[in-house]
Amino acid sequence: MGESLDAYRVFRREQDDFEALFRAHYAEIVRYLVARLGSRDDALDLASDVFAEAWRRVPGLQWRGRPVRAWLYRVAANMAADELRRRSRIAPLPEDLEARDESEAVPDRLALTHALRGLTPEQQLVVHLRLVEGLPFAEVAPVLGRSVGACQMLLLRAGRALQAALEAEGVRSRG
Amino acid sequence: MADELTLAAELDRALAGEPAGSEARELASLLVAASSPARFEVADAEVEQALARTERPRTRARRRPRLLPGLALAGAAAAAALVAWQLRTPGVDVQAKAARAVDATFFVVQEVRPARPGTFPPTTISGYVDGRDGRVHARISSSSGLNAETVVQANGTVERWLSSSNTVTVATSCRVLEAACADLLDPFSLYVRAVESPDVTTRHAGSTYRVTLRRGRVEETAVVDGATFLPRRIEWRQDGRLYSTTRFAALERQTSPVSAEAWVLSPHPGARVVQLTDRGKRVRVLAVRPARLRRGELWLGPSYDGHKARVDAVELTGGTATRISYGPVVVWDYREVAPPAVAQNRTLPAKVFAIPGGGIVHAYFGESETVVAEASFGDQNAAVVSVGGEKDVAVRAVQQLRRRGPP
Repeated sequence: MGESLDAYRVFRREQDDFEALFRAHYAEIVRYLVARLGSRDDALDLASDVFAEAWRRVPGLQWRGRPVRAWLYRVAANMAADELRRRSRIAPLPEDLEARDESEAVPDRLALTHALRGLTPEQQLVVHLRLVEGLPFAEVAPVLGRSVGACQMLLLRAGRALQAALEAEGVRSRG
Repeated sequence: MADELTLAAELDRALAGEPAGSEARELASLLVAASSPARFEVADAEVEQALARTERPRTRARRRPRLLPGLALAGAAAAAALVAWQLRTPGVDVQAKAARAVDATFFVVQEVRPARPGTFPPTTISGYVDGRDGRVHARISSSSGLNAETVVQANGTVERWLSSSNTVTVATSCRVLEAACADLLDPFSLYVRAVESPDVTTRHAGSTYRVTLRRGRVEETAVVDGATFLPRRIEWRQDGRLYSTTRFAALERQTSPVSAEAWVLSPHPGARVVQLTDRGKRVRVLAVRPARLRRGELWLGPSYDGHKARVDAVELTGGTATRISYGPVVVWDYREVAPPAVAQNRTLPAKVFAIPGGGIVHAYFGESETVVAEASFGDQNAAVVSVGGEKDVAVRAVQQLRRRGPP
């Protein structure tokens, strides 16, 4: 009861104080979008759009036991999916016009990045929350709207999917 | 399934650095490696800049219905009546004289001090302000050296360099760089705008006038000299409490026109340029495709220096551009936003000169082999970028730009 009351209070506070919401979650949304899109510039643009939407919509959200952060990630995931669809429709950029990711110099890194982006959006989100943001599963669970056990299973499946994708690319995972 | 649950829990332990089986350890290390590119810090300053840039339209979902809207409307009406009454005072005349007094170009040195020591470091702002067309060139420094530099052009475009990130941000207006302009533009240029505002109140105080502009919780009061009608100092108050005072160490009216280079950002070697559209988005190249030159676009003809023209349409965030390549010399024709290849060089030392046809050229020279000569013709812009060869290739070429006529 105490925990859910605290969660409710945080929800209300974040609804009322846009700047606090922004400062608390902007960086993690940028990191999430970088992982989804592979481009920091695109991530910064979309993160701005996510928070512009938050400015309009968050005050009207109803408390359903999930934090505002869950809503932010859902909007970010939808916008990232739209952006990826948009990209697939336009001609790829010539090599000299877009900065290359330094990590692409390493073939294994490239395969790993591709494998990560091949995960389902939910698997990508659990990887992000647990490994990038370092949240315990107790905090990951309300963002995903699942139980702690289900989140642990989701991460396990994400790890196995990565393993399978690398093997399909002929890259050995390092144990 | 029970095994899977056990392995999932074991994976969590492996991620926490606790002992676990080999499969869990292998999966953990794979997940750690896959997620490592996203583990980076976003600096607080970057968060604050993004917050300031975030669009916040007026329409907003509301959590609760607003109470007593009629009362709020009545309050607004009363405030409007109060302002109207105050404007009937002799203040309007003082305001007009103060506006006329700053209707020139000034070299300004201002010292900004907090009312409570320690609130922020004492800051000096120096540079030029043109009260006629709104141009500003302000260098902001503190005891640690030069912190920022801001240039606002007559058309409202803003260039702002920040020492902390060695970044130049180019924006179409102060609205896009809201916090930057509000915080860092020199108070004198704000004063120049304030004296033209209808929301100003004026009070006579000895040999001075106190000209006050209120915006929400913030109140700016300029103490204006009763003889010259120029400001002596500017006081900022928030919620009625004095926050800072700006004193004018120099306020020199320029009797002859100042050099065009006075309105150019200083060179900042190695600075990264971030250009924002009028919606605050970063300008980037989205797509390039072969195209034909349209009538009226600027180019150097079907060939230049033995190189045939190759034309591409370039889709940018917030606009489009046409790129005409003549080997090592490239011409860009653009309107809304400058292509990154042009904007990126705006931090280099610049020369400014006029060319026939009413164009103004900013030529940027750096240590590298790239020279950019950017020409502005009202709402149409073109730039010549040369790589290698003599330093004056781009400067010579920009003077030969011509509009494509009918085929």
